[in-house]
Amino acid sequence: MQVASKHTVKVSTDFSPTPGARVYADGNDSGQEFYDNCLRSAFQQALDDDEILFIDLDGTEGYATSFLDEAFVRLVRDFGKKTVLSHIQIISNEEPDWIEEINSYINEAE
Amino acid sequence: MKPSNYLIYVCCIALGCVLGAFFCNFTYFQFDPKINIFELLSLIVTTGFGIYIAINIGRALSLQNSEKSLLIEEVKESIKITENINSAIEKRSYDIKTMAGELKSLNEHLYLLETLLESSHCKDIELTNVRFDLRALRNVITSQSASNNIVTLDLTNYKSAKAAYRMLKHKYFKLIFEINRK
Repeated sequence: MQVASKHTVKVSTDFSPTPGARVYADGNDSGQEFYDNCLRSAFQQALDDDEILFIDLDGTEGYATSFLDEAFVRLVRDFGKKTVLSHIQIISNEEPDWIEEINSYINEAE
Repeated sequence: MKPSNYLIYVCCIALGCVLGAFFCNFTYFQFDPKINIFELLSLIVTTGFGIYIAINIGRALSLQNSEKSLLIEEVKESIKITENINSAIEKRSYDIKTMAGELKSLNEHLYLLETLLESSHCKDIELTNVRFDLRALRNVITSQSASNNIVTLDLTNYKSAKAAYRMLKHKYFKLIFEINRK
């Protein structure tokens, strides 16, 4: 599915094609780094415009559970579960099961 | 010479005796010079059905066997990737990015297998259990903390990873058995 929206984060091109682990201490391209450098500002912009942020997971070499968990849990901590759930849409055509998994991270966060 | 070969010779000789006796008494059979048209039609129709069924069943069986081979090949590919993951677990140290790549490849194979199953005669085979165990393995080996993206497994995590690997491999073998039974 191709999404034409100004509020889109494509991990492979906007961050890294090889995402890493959880936090800075784990190494480069961590979930924390992705959140700080990419996801938080993109989400804030989408929120300001009252629009949906599309997060495209396709095109990377693959994800560690810790990377996605860290990024989305931080998003929930900063913006709240309800706001996050109503303003994001995950795109994952290569591994659709990540969508359900990320929703569970969001629901279990806080 | 093997004893089984002697048995074959004895059977052949016995069969020869029986056939010899049968043909000696061939004069006991009587041939009707008239042909009953209904019996002839019945014979032709029965023969036609026989040939039709043989050809169609043969074709269906051959199609099913080629589908099975394709599906099993796909499962074997997944088992190979699982073995690569196990090698890394055995070393108790691996690059989390490489491991994420292996797991993505495994997941994509599973989606491909799902699509293939749906378009084959094995469409009632469920992959829910395999998917569940794949997620369990992914959670165990890519949720650990790392240093320079290198994960070092302690004994507890090593045992959990090995258990998750064995469960997944077991499910793949069960899947092969299930496909073969179809």
